[in-house]
Amino acid sequence: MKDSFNPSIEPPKKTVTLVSSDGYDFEVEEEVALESQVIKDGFEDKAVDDREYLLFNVHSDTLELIIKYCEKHVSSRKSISAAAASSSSSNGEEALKEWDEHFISVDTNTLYDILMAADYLNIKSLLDLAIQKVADTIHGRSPEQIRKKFNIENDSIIDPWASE
Amino acid sequence: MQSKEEKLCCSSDQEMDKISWLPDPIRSHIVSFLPMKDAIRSKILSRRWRYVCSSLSNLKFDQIEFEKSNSEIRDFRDFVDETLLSHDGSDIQRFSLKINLDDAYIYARRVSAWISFALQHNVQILILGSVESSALLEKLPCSLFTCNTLRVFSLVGIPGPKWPTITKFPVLRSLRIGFITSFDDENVIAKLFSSCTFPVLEELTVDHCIFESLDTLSISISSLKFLYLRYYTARSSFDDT
Repeated sequence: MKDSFNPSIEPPKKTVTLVSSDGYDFEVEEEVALESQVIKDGFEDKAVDDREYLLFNVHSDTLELIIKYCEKHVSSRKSISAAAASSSSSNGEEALKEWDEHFISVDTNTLYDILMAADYLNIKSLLDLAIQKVADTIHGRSPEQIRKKFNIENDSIIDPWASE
Repeated sequence: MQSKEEKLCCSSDQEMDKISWLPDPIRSHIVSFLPMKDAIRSKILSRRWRYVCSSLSNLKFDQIEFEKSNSEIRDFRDFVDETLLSHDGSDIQRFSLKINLDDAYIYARRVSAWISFALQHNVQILILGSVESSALLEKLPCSLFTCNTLRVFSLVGIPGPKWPTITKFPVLRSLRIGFITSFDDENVIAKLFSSCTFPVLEELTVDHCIFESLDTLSISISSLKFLYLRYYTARSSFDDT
Protein backbone atom coordinates (compact mmCIF):
# COMPACT_ATOMS: atom_id res chain seq x y z
CA MET A 1 0.00 0.00 0.00
CA LYS A 2 1.19 3.43 -0.84
CA ASP A 3 0.70 5.77 2.05
CA SER A 4 0.70 8.80 -0.21
CA PHE A 5 -2.74 7.87 -1.41
CA ASN A 6 -5.04 8.93 1.35
CA PRO A 7 -8.17 10.81 0.35
CA SER A 8 -8.84 13.32 3.08
CA ILE A 9 -12.61 12.85 3.13
CA GLU A 10 -12.26 9.23 4.16
CA PRO A 11 -11.32 8.17 7.65
CA PRO A 12 -7.90 6.50 7.66
CA LYS A 13 -9.34 2.96 7.79
CA LYS A 14 -9.21 1.55 4.32
CA THR A 15 -11.81 -0.96 3.38
CA VAL A 16 -12.37 -3.73 0.91
CA THR A 17 -15.66 -5.09 -0.33
CA LEU A 18 -16.26 -8.80 -0.33
CA VAL A 19 -19.21 -10.06 -2.31
CA SER A 20 -20.71 -13.39 -1.36
CA SER A 21 -21.93 -16.00 -3.82
CA ASP A 22 -25.54 -14.96 -3.14
CA GLY A 23 -24.77 -11.34 -3.91
CA TYR A 24 -24.36 -9.66 -0.52
CA ASP A 25 -21.72 -7.00 -0.05
CA PHE A 26 -19.54 -7.04 3.02
CA GLU A 27 -17.35 -4.08 3.67
CA VAL A 28 -14.38 -4.99 5.80
CA GLU A 29 -11.18 -3.35 6.86
CA GLU A 30 -8.29 -4.00 4.59
CA GLU A 31 -6.16 -5.77 7.16
CA VAL A 32 -9.03 -8.11 7.93
CA ALA A 33 -9.39 -9.08 4.27
CA LEU A 34 -5.64 -9.59 4.06
CA GLU A 35 -5.91 -12.50 6.44
CA SER A 36 -6.78 -14.39 3.28
CA GLN A 37 -3.63 -15.31 1.44
CA VAL A 38 -5.52 -15.36 -1.82
CA ILE A 39 -6.64 -11.76 -1.42
CA LYS A 40 -3.23 -10.76 -0.14
CA ASP A 41 -1.44 -12.26 -3.13
CA GLY A 42 -3.07 -10.07 -5.76
CA PHE A 43 -3.75 -7.09 -3.55
CA GLU A 44 -0.96 -4.76 -4.57
CA ASP A 45 -1.83 -5.05 -8.22
CA LYS A 46 -5.44 -4.13 -7.81
CA ALA A 47 -6.49 -0.52 -8.32
CA VAL A 48 -7.35 1.17 -5.04
CA ASP A 49 -10.87 2.10 -6.12
CA ASP A 50 -11.46 -1.46 -7.30
CA ARG A 51 -10.99 -3.31 -4.09
CA GLU A 52 -13.96 -5.54 -4.56
CA TYR A 53 -13.74 -9.29 -4.46
CA LEU A 54 -16.39 -11.60 -5.81
CA LEU A 55 -16.25 -14.75 -3.78
CA PHE A 56 -18.23 -17.14 -5.92
CA ASN A 57 -17.71 -20.08 -3.62
CA VAL A 58 -18.62 -18.46 -0.34
CA HIS A 59 -22.20 -18.03 0.79
CA SER A 60 -23.08 -14.96 2.85
CA ASP A 61 -23.74 -17.03 5.98
CA THR A 62 -20.28 -18.51 5.79
CA LEU A 63 -18.63 -15.27 4.77
CA GLU A 64 -20.03 -13.59 7.82
CA LEU A 65 -18.42 -16.20 10.04
CA ILE A 66 -15.14 -15.97 8.17
CA ILE A 67 -15.06 -12.21 8.60
CA LYS A 68 -15.84 -12.56 12.27
CA TYR A 69 -12.92 -14.93 12.62
CA CYS A 70 -10.51 -12.69 10.74
CA GLU A 71 -11.55 -9.59 12.65
CA LYS A 72 -11.03 -11.36 15.93
CA HIS A 73 -7.62 -12.60 14.92
CA VAL A 74 -6.46 -9.24 13.66
CA SER A 75 -7.53 -7.47 16.84
CA SER A 76 -6.15 -10.19 19.12
CA ARG A 77 -2.82 -10.12 17.39
CA LYS A 78 -2.65 -6.40 17.97
CA SER A 79 -3.48 -6.62 21.65
CA ILE A 80 -1.08 -9.53 22.14
CA SER A 81 1.81 -7.65 20.56
CA ALA A 82 0.85 -4.52 22.47
CA ALA A 83 0.96 -6.50 25.70
CA ALA A 84 4.30 -7.96 24.69
CA ALA A 85 5.67 -4.50 23.91
CA SER A 86 4.71 -3.16 27.30
CA SER A 87 6.03 -6.43 28.71
CA SER A 88 2.87 -6.89 30.70
CA SER A 89 1.92 -10.51 30.81
CA SER A 90 -1.32 -11.30 29.08
CA ASN A 91 -3.30 -14.43 28.52
CA GLY A 92 -4.18 -13.22 25.04
CA GLU A 93 -3.12 -16.38 23.30
CA GLU A 94 -5.03 -18.50 25.77
CA ALA A 95 -8.13 -16.38 25.36
CA LEU A 96 -7.88 -16.52 21.61
CA LYS A 97 -7.60 -20.29 21.70
CA GLU A 98 -10.72 -20.43 23.79
CA TRP A 99 -12.46 -18.09 21.42
CA ASP A 100 -11.43 -20.29 18.46
CA GLU A 101 -12.74 -23.35 20.22
CA HIS A 102 -16.07 -21.68 20.75
CA PHE A 103 -16.13 -20.28 17.23
CA ILE A 104 -15.63 -23.65 15.58
CA SER A 105 -18.25 -25.42 17.66
CA VAL A 106 -20.84 -25.44 14.89
CA ASP A 107 -22.94 -28.07 13.20
CA THR A 108 -21.35 -30.35 10.65
CA ASN A 109 -22.60 -28.53 7.59
CA THR A 110 -21.46 -25.15 8.78
CA LEU A 111 -18.12 -26.64 9.66
CA TYR A 112 -17.86 -28.05 6.18
CA ASP A 113 -18.70 -24.65 4.68
CA ILE A 114 -16.08 -22.94 6.81
CA LEU A 115 -13.57 -25.58 5.81
CA MET A 116 -14.17 -25.08 2.11
CA ALA A 117 -14.14 -21.31 2.41
CA ALA A 118 -10.93 -21.32 4.44
CA ASP A 119 -9.36 -23.53 1.82
CA TYR A 120 -10.62 -21.36 -1.03
CA LEU A 121 -9.50 -18.13 0.60
CA ASN A 122 -6.35 -19.78 1.91
CA ILE A 123 -6.60 -18.78 5.55
CA LYS A 124 -4.24 -21.31 7.05
CA SER A 125 -4.99 -20.92 10.74
CA LEU A 126 -8.71 -21.22 10.11
CA LEU A 127 -8.25 -24.18 7.81
CA ASP A 128 -6.21 -25.97 10.46
CA LEU A 129 -8.76 -25.11 13.09
CA ALA A 130 -11.62 -26.52 11.01
CA ILE A 131 -9.66 -29.59 10.00
CA GLN A 132 -8.73 -30.25 13.60
CA LYS A 133 -12.38 -30.00 14.48
CA VAL A 134 -13.39 -32.55 11.85
CA ALA A 135 -10.54 -34.80 12.97
CA ASP A 136 -11.75 -34.51 16.58
CA THR A 137 -15.21 -35.53 15.46
CA ILE A 138 -13.81 -38.62 13.75
CA HIS A 139 -11.33 -39.47 16.48
CA GLY A 140 -12.37 -42.32 18.69
CA ARG A 141 -15.48 -43.26 16.75
CA SER A 142 -16.02 -46.60 15.09
CA PRO A 143 -16.32 -46.60 11.29
CA GLU A 144 -20.03 -47.21 11.64
CA GLN A 145 -20.41 -44.20 13.93
CA ILE A 146 -18.41 -42.04 11.56
CA ARG A 147 -20.57 -43.08 8.62
CA LYS A 148 -23.65 -42.18 10.58
CA LYS A 149 -22.27 -38.87 11.75
CA PHE A 150 -21.29 -37.73 8.26
CA ASN A 151 -23.94 -39.59 6.28
CA ILE A 152 -21.34 -41.65 4.51
CA GLU A 153 -22.80 -44.54 2.60
CA ASN A 154 -20.77 -47.68 2.80
CA ASP A 155 -20.48 -48.62 -0.84
CA SER A 156 -17.48 -50.89 -0.44
CA ILE A 157 -17.86 -53.94 -2.57
CA ILE A 158 -18.00 -56.99 -0.42
CA ASP A 159 -14.99 -59.07 -1.18
CA PRO A 160 -16.31 -62.13 -3.05
CA TRP A 161 -13.30 -64.13 -1.97
CA ALA A 162 -13.70 -63.43 1.68
CA SER A 163 -14.59 -66.55 3.56
CA GLU A 164 -17.89 -66.33 5.40
CA MET B 1 -26.94 -12.01 11.93
CA GLN B 2 -26.76 -15.24 13.85
CA SER B 3 -26.67 -17.76 11.10
CA LYS B 4 -26.51 -20.97 13.03
CA GLU B 5 -29.95 -21.84 11.68
CA GLU B 6 -30.25 -24.36 8.95
CA LYS B 7 -30.16 -21.69 6.30
CA LEU B 8 -27.30 -23.05 4.25
CA CYS B 9 -26.77 -22.98 0.51
CA CYS B 10 -29.33 -25.64 -0.15
CA SER B 11 -31.39 -27.15 2.57
CA SER B 12 -31.39 -30.55 0.88
CA ASP B 13 -27.67 -30.72 1.51
CA GLN B 14 -28.44 -31.55 5.09
CA GLU B 15 -28.83 -35.17 4.17
CA MET B 16 -25.86 -35.33 1.88
CA ASP B 17 -22.54 -36.91 2.55
CA LYS B 18 -20.46 -33.80 2.02
CA ILE B 19 -17.29 -34.85 3.70
CA SER B 20 -16.60 -37.65 1.23
CA TRP B 21 -16.69 -35.14 -1.60
CA LEU B 22 -14.17 -32.79 -0.12
CA PRO B 23 -11.13 -32.50 -2.34
CA ASP B 24 -8.58 -35.26 -1.76
CA PRO B 25 -5.90 -32.95 -0.34
CA ILE B 26 -8.34 -31.71 2.30
CA ARG B 27 -9.36 -35.21 3.28
CA SER B 28 -5.72 -36.26 3.46
CA HIS B 29 -5.15 -33.25 5.65
CA ILE B 30 -8.00 -34.30 7.95
CA VAL B 31 -6.76 -37.85 8.17
CA SER B 32 -3.24 -36.67 8.93
CA PHE B 33 -4.60 -34.98 12.07
CA LEU B 34 -5.81 -38.31 13.44
CA PRO B 35 -3.89 -40.83 15.49
CA MET B 36 -2.40 -43.49 13.21
CA LYS B 37 -4.93 -46.13 14.07
CA ASP B 38 -7.91 -43.93 13.25
CA ALA B 39 -6.20 -42.60 10.17
CA ILE B 40 -5.67 -46.05 8.73
CA ARG B 41 -9.16 -47.15 9.66
CA SER B 42 -10.63 -44.37 7.55
CA LYS B 43 -10.06 -46.44 4.44
CA ILE B 44 -12.91 -48.80 5.24
CA LEU B 45 -15.49 -46.02 5.43
CA SER B 46 -16.37 -46.21 1.77
CA ARG B 47 -14.77 -46.50 -1.61
CA ARG B 48 -14.04 -42.79 -1.80
CA TRP B 49 -12.03 -43.10 1.40
CA ARG B 50 -9.98 -46.12 0.45
CA TYR B 51 -6.83 -44.31 -0.60
CA VAL B 52 -7.04 -41.16 1.44
CA CYS B 53 -4.66 -42.46 4.08
CA SER B 54 -2.17 -43.80 1.58
CA SER B 55 -0.34 -40.52 1.32
CA LEU B 56 0.23 -39.95 5.03
CA SER B 57 3.58 -38.30 5.49
CA ASN B 58 3.80 -38.79 9.21
CA LEU B 59 3.82 -42.44 10.23
CA LYS B 60 3.92 -43.37 13.86
CA PHE B 61 3.88 -46.92 15.10
CA ASP B 62 3.97 -47.56 18.79
CA GLN B 63 3.60 -51.19 19.72
CA ILE B 64 2.88 -50.70 23.39
CA GLU B 65 0.26 -48.05 22.72
CA PHE B 66 -1.21 -50.15 19.93
CA GLU B 67 -1.53 -53.25 22.04
CA LYS B 68 -2.95 -51.34 24.93
CA SER B 69 -5.73 -49.79 22.89
CA ASN B 70 -6.24 -52.76 20.64
CA SER B 71 -6.90 -55.66 22.88
CA GLU B 72 -8.77 -57.28 20.01
CA ILE B 73 -7.17 -59.58 17.53
CA ARG B 74 -5.31 -57.00 15.48
CA ASP B 75 -1.68 -57.75 15.26
CA PHE B 76 0.84 -54.95 15.45
CA ARG B 77 3.06 -56.45 12.75
CA ASP B 78 0.16 -56.84 10.35
CA PHE B 79 -0.89 -53.31 11.08
CA VAL B 80 2.51 -51.94 10.17
CA ASP B 81 2.82 -54.20 7.13
CA GLU B 82 -0.59 -53.28 5.78
CA THR B 83 -0.06 -49.59 6.33
CA LEU B 84 3.24 -49.59 4.51
CA LEU B 85 1.88 -51.79 1.76
CA SER B 86 -0.91 -49.37 1.00
CA HIS B 87 1.32 -46.31 1.06
CA ASP B 88 1.52 -44.52 -2.26
CA GLY B 89 4.76 -43.21 -3.70
CA SER B 90 4.70 -39.98 -1.76
CA ASP B 91 7.50 -39.06 0.60
CA ILE B 92 7.43 -39.91 4.26
CA GLN B 93 8.43 -36.93 6.26
CA ARG B 94 8.54 -38.51 9.68
CA PHE B 95 8.70 -42.16 10.62
CA SER B 96 8.51 -43.18 14.21
CA LEU B 97 8.74 -46.79 15.32
CA LYS B 98 8.60 -47.90 18.93
CA ILE B 99 8.70 -51.60 19.36
CA ASN B 100 8.97 -54.19 22.02
CA LEU B 101 12.05 -56.15 21.07
CA ASP B 102 11.26 -58.80 23.61
CA ASP B 103 8.27 -59.72 21.51
CA ALA B 104 9.55 -62.90 19.91
CA TYR B 105 7.52 -62.24 16.82
CA ILE B 106 9.20 -59.01 15.92
CA TYR B 107 12.08 -60.17 13.84
CA ALA B 108 15.06 -57.98 13.28
CA ARG B 109 14.75 -58.53 9.58
CA ARG B 110 11.18 -57.38 9.57
CA VAL B 111 11.97 -54.24 11.50
CA SER B 112 14.82 -53.65 9.15
CA ALA B 113 12.44 -53.90 6.20
CA TRP B 114 10.12 -51.32 7.77
CA ILE B 115 12.99 -48.94 8.28
CA SER B 116 14.18 -49.53 4.73
CA PHE B 117 10.73 -48.60 3.51
CA ALA B 118 10.95 -45.25 5.26
CA LEU B 119 14.42 -44.69 3.88
CA GLN B 120 13.26 -45.44 0.35
CA HIS B 121 10.59 -42.79 0.79
CA ASN B 122 13.06 -40.07 1.62
CA VAL B 123 12.34 -39.95 5.32
CA GLN B 124 13.60 -36.83 7.04
CA ILE B 125 12.87 -37.58 10.65
CA LEU B 126 13.48 -41.09 11.92
CA ILE B 127 12.69 -42.10 15.48
CA LEU B 128 13.53 -45.65 16.48
CA GLY B 129 13.02 -46.99 19.92
CA SER B 130 12.40 -50.15 21.82
CA VAL B 131 11.14 -50.50 25.30
CA GLU B 132 12.25 -53.83 26.65
CA SER B 133 15.59 -54.43 25.22
CA SER B 134 17.21 -57.67 26.00
CA ALA B 135 16.96 -59.07 22.52
CA LEU B 136 19.32 -57.90 19.88
CA LEU B 137 18.34 -56.04 16.83
CA GLU B 138 21.36 -57.07 14.96
CA LYS B 139 21.28 -55.15 11.82
CA LEU B 140 19.85 -51.85 10.84
CA PRO B 141 19.63 -51.44 7.09
CA CYS B 142 22.93 -50.33 5.59
CA SER B 143 21.28 -47.56 3.62
CA LEU B 144 20.41 -45.89 6.92
CA PHE B 145 24.03 -45.04 7.54
CA THR B 146 24.45 -43.13 4.33
CA CYS B 147 20.97 -41.69 4.13
CA ASN B 148 21.01 -38.33 2.43
CA THR B 149 17.55 -37.13 3.41
CA LEU B 150 17.72 -37.69 7.15
CA ARG B 151 17.67 -34.48 9.18
CA VAL B 152 16.72 -35.84 12.59
CA PHE B 153 17.62 -39.27 13.86
CA SER B 154 16.90 -40.78 17.22
CA LEU B 155 17.99 -44.27 18.18
CA VAL B 156 16.94 -45.22 21.64
CA GLY B 157 17.17 -48.52 23.46
CA ILE B 158 18.14 -50.61 20.51
CA PRO B 159 21.07 -52.59 21.74
CA GLY B 160 24.11 -53.51 19.79
CA PRO B 161 23.41 -52.06 16.38
CA LYS B 162 26.19 -52.87 14.00
CA TRP B 163 27.62 -49.64 12.75
CA PRO B 164 29.14 -50.07 9.35
CA THR B 165 32.63 -48.72 8.89
CA ILE B 166 31.40 -46.27 6.31
CA THR B 167 28.85 -43.89 7.70
CA LYS B 168 27.90 -40.51 6.43
CA PHE B 169 24.83 -38.44 7.20
CA PRO B 170 25.20 -35.49 4.86
CA VAL B 171 22.21 -33.47 6.07
CA LEU B 172 21.70 -34.75 9.61
CA ARG B 173 21.22 -31.88 12.05
CA SER B 174 20.09 -33.62 15.17
CA LEU B 175 21.17 -37.00 16.51
CA ARG B 176 20.15 -38.73 19.69
CA ILE B 177 21.61 -42.00 20.83
CA GLY B 178 20.16 -43.26 24.03
CA PHE B 179 20.03 -46.27 26.30
CA ILE B 180 22.45 -48.27 24.26
CA THR B 181 24.58 -50.43 26.45
CA SER B 182 26.69 -52.30 24.01
CA PHE B 183 28.16 -51.35 20.72
CA ASP B 184 29.17 -54.07 18.38
CA ASP B 185 32.47 -52.58 17.46
CA GLU B 186 33.56 -49.79 19.69
CA ASN B 187 36.46 -48.92 17.45
CA VAL B 188 33.90 -47.70 14.97
CA ILE B 189 32.19 -45.65 17.65
CA ALA B 190 35.51 -44.20 18.69
CA LYS B 191 35.85 -42.65 15.25
CA LEU B 192 32.19 -42.04 14.66
CA PHE B 193 31.62 -38.56 16.03
CA SER B 194 33.50 -36.55 13.49
CA SER B 195 32.72 -33.89 10.93
CA CYS B 196 33.48 -36.46 8.31
CA THR B 197 30.45 -38.50 9.31
CA PHE B 198 28.25 -35.60 10.37
CA PRO B 199 29.18 -32.56 8.28
CA VAL B 200 26.25 -30.40 9.42
CA LEU B 201 25.27 -31.88 12.79
CA GLU B 202 24.17 -29.21 15.23
CA GLU B 203 22.71 -31.13 18.11
CA LEU B 204 24.06 -34.32 19.62
CA THR B 205 22.63 -36.17 22.57
CA VAL B 206 24.28 -39.19 24.07
CA ASP B 207 22.05 -40.49 26.77
CA HIS B 208 22.57 -43.42 29.13
CA CYS B 209 25.12 -45.11 26.93
CA ILE B 210 27.88 -47.40 28.04
CA PHE B 211 31.05 -47.78 26.06
CA GLU B 212 32.78 -50.59 27.84
CA SER B 213 36.07 -50.87 26.13
CA LEU B 214 36.46 -47.26 25.21
CA ASP B 215 39.00 -45.11 26.97
CA THR B 216 38.02 -41.85 25.45
CA LEU B 217 34.98 -40.75 23.57
CA SER B 218 36.13 -38.29 21.02
CA ILE B 219 33.72 -35.81 19.52
CA SER B 220 35.06 -33.52 16.86
CA ILE B 221 32.22 -32.02 14.91
CA SER B 222 32.81 -28.47 13.88
CA SER B 223 29.17 -27.62 13.16
CA LEU B 224 28.02 -28.74 16.61
CA LYS B 225 26.08 -26.20 18.66
CA PHE B 226 24.55 -28.30 21.40
CA LEU B 227 26.00 -31.32 23.08
CA TYR B 228 24.14 -33.22 25.76
CA LEU B 229 25.85 -36.01 27.61
CA ARG B 230 23.80 -37.71 30.26
CA TYR B 231 24.77 -40.71 32.33
CA TYR B 232 27.26 -41.69 29.80
CA THR B 233 30.09 -43.98 30.72
CA ALA B 234 33.35 -44.56 29.08
CA ARG B 235 36.25 -45.72 31.13
CA SER B 236 37.61 -42.30 31.68
CA SER B 237 36.79 -38.85 30.41
CA PHE B 238 36.03 -37.49 26.99
CA ASP B 239 37.46 -35.01 24.56
CA ASP B 240 35.47 -32.33 22.95
CA THR B 241 37.15 -30.55 20.15
